[in-house]
Amino acid sequence: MTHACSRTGGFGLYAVALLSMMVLLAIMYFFPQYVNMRTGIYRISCKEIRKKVERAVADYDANNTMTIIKPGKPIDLDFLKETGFLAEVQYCPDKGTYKFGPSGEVICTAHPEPVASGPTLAPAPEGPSRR
Amino acid sequence: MAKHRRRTFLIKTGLQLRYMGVIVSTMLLVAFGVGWIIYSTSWNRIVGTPDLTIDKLAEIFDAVNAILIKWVAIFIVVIASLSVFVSHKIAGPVYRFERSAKVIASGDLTQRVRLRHGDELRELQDAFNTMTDALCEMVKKDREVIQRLVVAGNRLNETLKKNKQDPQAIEAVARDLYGIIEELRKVTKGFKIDPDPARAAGDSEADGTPS
Repeated sequence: MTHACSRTGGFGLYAVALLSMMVLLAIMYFFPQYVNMRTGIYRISCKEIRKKVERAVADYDANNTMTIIKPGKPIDLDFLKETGFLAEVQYCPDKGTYKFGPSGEVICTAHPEPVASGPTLAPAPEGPSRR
Repeated sequence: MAKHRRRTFLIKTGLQLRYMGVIVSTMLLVAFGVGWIIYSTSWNRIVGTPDLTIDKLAEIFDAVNAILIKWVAIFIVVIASLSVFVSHKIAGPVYRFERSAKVIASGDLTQRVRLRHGDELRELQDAFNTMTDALCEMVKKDREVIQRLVVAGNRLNETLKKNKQDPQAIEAVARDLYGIIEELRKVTKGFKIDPDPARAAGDSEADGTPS
């Protein structure tokens, strides 16, 4: 009698423990993949946003006597939108800040690689740029 | 304790197949639901985004994640609620069996298990009630034999009171008593109370009652 009781009682416990272990292993296996995927997607988006901002800055400089480029300073995206050089204000998906680099290029604090490097899915649409 | 090995996996085929069906269909439902949500949300976002460029990729990714989290939470709540109802079909009968077994153990053999419509373990209910009926029948027979013992005892008492010491009358009463004892033995012989059959047989022989 005790034999049957211990068998049925233990089975439920083992099943719950096994399922919990499987869920834990699945999280341990899939979470790093998810993080990698998200990082890659955010990096690609950020690079494309920086390309757009760079084109807007180039357009602004081409149409104004005073340059907007201030190396090391954050880029005023709202100002570029108000003046019509940027269609919409977009921020880095990884909460990075867009700043001007030493040579006037747009850099992101979260994604330090330059716009020209790394693979992209497709070329961004060409805009009027004098750079 | 000897290790128990399962050789027959489908012991209660109907019950096991029903629960396999419930688990598999739930899994399929969740897999299809989550798959469809990812598929439709992603493509609707892609199609519905004006001037789609690669910089919108993160927005689409975040939107799909947000919708997926919302729906997974809904699925968890729905499946948890459904599992309460499904498990109740087993837990309810088990609770009733436990309660009935306690009542019967306390001596009330009028107790019967009555399951509700749609409950599982209906075959166990029939077997349990048949067992209780059999117990009732045995106790009834015991009582009849006890009643006959009382009558025989009274006869013996009267014979002794007459003080005639008629050996034939006393022998007749003694014969009756042994006959009743034999009947009582037959009634209780149906019960197996010792897991060791050799020991049980030894006990029976050591009884010392002439047959």
